[in-house]
Amino acid sequence: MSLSPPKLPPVMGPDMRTMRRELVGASDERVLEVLRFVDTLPDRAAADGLLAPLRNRLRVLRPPRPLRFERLLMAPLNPVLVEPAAWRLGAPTLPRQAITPIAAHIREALPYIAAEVDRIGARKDESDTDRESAAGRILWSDAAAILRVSNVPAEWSTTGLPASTYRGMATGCAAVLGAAWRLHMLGDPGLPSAELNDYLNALLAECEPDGGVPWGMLLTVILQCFPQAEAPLHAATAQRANRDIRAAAEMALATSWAWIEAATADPVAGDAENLTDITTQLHHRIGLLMHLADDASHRKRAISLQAELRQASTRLFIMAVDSVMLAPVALLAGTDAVGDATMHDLEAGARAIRRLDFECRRLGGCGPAHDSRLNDAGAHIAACNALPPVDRARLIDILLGARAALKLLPAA
Amino acid sequence: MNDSPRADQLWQPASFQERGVAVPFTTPALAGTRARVAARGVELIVPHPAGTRGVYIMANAELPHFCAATLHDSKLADQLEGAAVMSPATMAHAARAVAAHGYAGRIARVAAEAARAAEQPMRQTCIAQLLQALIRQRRGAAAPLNDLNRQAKAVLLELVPVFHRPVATLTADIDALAQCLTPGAAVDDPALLGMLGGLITDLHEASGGLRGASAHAARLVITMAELTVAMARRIAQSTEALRADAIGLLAGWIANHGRVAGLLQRQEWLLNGWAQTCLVWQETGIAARRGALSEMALMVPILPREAAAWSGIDMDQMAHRQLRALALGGKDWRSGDALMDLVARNERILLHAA
Repeated sequence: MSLSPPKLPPVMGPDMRTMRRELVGASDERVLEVLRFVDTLPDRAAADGLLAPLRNRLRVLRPPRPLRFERLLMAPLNPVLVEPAAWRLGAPTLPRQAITPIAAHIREALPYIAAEVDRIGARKDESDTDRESAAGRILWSDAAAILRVSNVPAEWSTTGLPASTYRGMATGCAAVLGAAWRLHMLGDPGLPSAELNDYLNALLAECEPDGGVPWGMLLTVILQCFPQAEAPLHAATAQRANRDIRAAAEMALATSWAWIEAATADPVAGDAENLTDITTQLHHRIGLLMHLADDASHRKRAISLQAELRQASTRLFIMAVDSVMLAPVALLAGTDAVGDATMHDLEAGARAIRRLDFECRRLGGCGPAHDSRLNDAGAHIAACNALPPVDRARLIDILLGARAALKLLPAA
Repeated sequence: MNDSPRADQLWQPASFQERGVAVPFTTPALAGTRARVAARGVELIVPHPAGTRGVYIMANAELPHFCAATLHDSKLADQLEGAAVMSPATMAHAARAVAAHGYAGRIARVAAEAARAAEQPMRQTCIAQLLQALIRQRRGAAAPLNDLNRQAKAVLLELVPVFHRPVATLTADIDALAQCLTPGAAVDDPALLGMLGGLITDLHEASGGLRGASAHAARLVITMAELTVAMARRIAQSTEALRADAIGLLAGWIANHGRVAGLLQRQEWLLNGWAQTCLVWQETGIAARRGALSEMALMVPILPREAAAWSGIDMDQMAHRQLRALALGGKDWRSGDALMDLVARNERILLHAA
C-alpha cells in the first residue's frame, strides 16, 4: 500500500492562492460578499479551496445559506471528509475535491430526485437538520446504488486524482450512503443499547465484503455518530485476520482520535445555534473519549486528552457565557422594550449554555468554576432593568434553576 | 422497585376523580403527572421519574422536594395549592393564569391571554345556543339572531310556571348550565377525537418496524387510544341525547345540577390528558419516535373502572395492566443534554393544549 500525498488539484491556481491569502485578513462584510458570490456558482469546486481557511469565521458569522445538493448528499460522509493535502491513498477518508464530481455524477443519474432535493435545500422555514433528514430519506440509498456500479465519471479529472482511486472512494461512499438512513433512524434516543449494538454490528458485517476502505469509512462514521455504543469500538479494536480490515480499523480509530483532539483547539462560541452544534459534537467526542478510557490500551492517552479537553471546554464555556448571554444582555441597557425575537434568542442562548455546562461537567473538575460563572451571569441578568422581572426570572431559571429565579419574583 | 413486569405493581384508579386531572407541567421528569383533591389537600400522582412502573403520590406542596421543577411548574403548583375542586376545566383555567404571567415564555403568554379572552365569548355562544334550543322546542323553529333576545325572554316567561322559578333564577340557571357546556380546553372534544384518530393511524404505520419496549409502548398507546375513542363516541351519543331535549336538560339541572354537570363533562374527563400525549407525538421528528413512545407510555391516560360504567363498554383491566407492565420496562432516556430540549418542547405543547 503506497501512501503518497495527492497532487494539488488544478483548481487552486496562483490567482486563487493570492485571493485566499487576502481573504484571511478581510472584513466580515468582504467575506460574506465572497460567500454570496460562491453560492451562486453552478460549480463551486474552484471555490472550495478559497473557503477552507474561512470555515471558522463562517461558523461565527452564520450567514443564511441555501443547502446545496452537494452538502445534502454528503452530510453522512462528514466524518470522513478531509482536506486534499491530508488525504492518503488507502485511507478510509474522502478528499474534499472528490465531492463535486461525485455529486455531479449523482445529479445526472437521478435528475428527478436531485430536483426535489434542490427544492428541499431551498426551504427557508426548516432547520438544516430537518432539511438534511428530508433530503436524505429520498436521496441517500438511491445515490448509494448508483455509486456501487458506476464507471469513473468524466469530471473525475478535475480532482487531480488518478482514475484508479475512483472505485474505492465510490464504494466507500456507497457503503456510508447505503447505511445513512438506517443510521439516521438509529439516532433515536429511545432505542435500547442492546438493539443499537445489534443493528450496528449487522451494518458493519454487511459492509465487510466491500473491502477495507469502505468498511473503514463506515466504521469512522459510526464511531463518531454513536460513541456511546459498544459495537463500533469493539469492531475497531478487535483482533482481525484480514489485513485490509485491520488497517482500516486502525485508521478509523486514528481519525477518531484526531477528531476528539480537534476539540482542544482554540474555541469559537458564536451564537446560540452555533454553540448548540458545537455542544452536540462535544457530546459525541466526550462519549467516545469516555469509552476509550474504559479500554486499558487507550486509557493513558484518553485521560491525558480528557484533561486537555476539559481546559478547552471550560475556555469555551467562559467565552460562551460572555458572547451568548452577557454581551447581548449588556446591549439591552437603556432599551425601553425588548422584543419577543430578542427574548427568544436570549432563552435559546441560555439553553445552549446549560447544554454546554452539562457536557463540561461530564469531563469533571469544572463544577466550582462553572457555578461561579453562572452565578455571575445570573447577577448580571437580575440587574438588567430593560427586561421585565418575569423575563429575567425565565433566563435565571434556565441557567440556575427555579429556586434562584423565584428570588426575583414576589411571593404568591 | 422490582424489574419483572408484574401487573399488580401498577397503579389502577377506580374512578376518574381518583385518576385526577392531567397537569401541563414542563419539567420532563413530571411528564404524565395528574392532580386530584384528597383529604389532605391537592395531591400529585407522578409516573416513576425513571420511566419504569409505578407512581409517586405526594402532596402538591412537596413538589420542590421531589425534583428540580421549572419556574413555570413551581408557579403552577402554587396556583393549584388549596384548590377545592379539580376538573379539566379548573386545570385549564389555572394553567392559563400561570402562562399569562409569562412563566412559560412570551409566546405561551400571548396564547394564554388569547385563550382567556376567548372564554367569555365562548360562554356567550353557549348561552345563545341553549336559548335557541329552548325556543326551538317551544316554538318549533329557532329565532332569527336579531330577535333572539325578545323570543328568549318570552320563552323564559312561559317556563316560569313550569319550573316554579322566577325569570332571574332561570337566567342564572341557564348561565351556569352554559358554563358546563363551554369547552374548558383549547382543544375541544371533537378536535381531540380527530387528533386521536390521526395518532392511531400513525402508530399503526410506525409500529411495524418496532420491537421490544418500543413495540409494547406503541401497542399500549394504540389499545388505550382505540378504547378511549370507542368510549368517547358512546358517551357522546348519550350526551347528545341529553342536549337535544333543552327543556329536559334545564329541568334536570334545576333538580340536581351536580348530576347533570357530571353527565355533561364525562367526555372531557375521559379524554383528559390525551391532548398532551398526541402533541408529544406530533412534536417529535421521525428519528426520535421510540423515545417519544416511551414517554407517551408513561403519559397515556389510564382508564379507571368507572369508564366501563360510563360508556357501557367492557374492558379487560388485567390485559391492559399487563400491557402497561411490558411497555414501561424500557430504560429512561430523558436525562442530561436532552432535558433542555424537552422543556422547550413542553412549552410549545402548552401553546396548543392549555
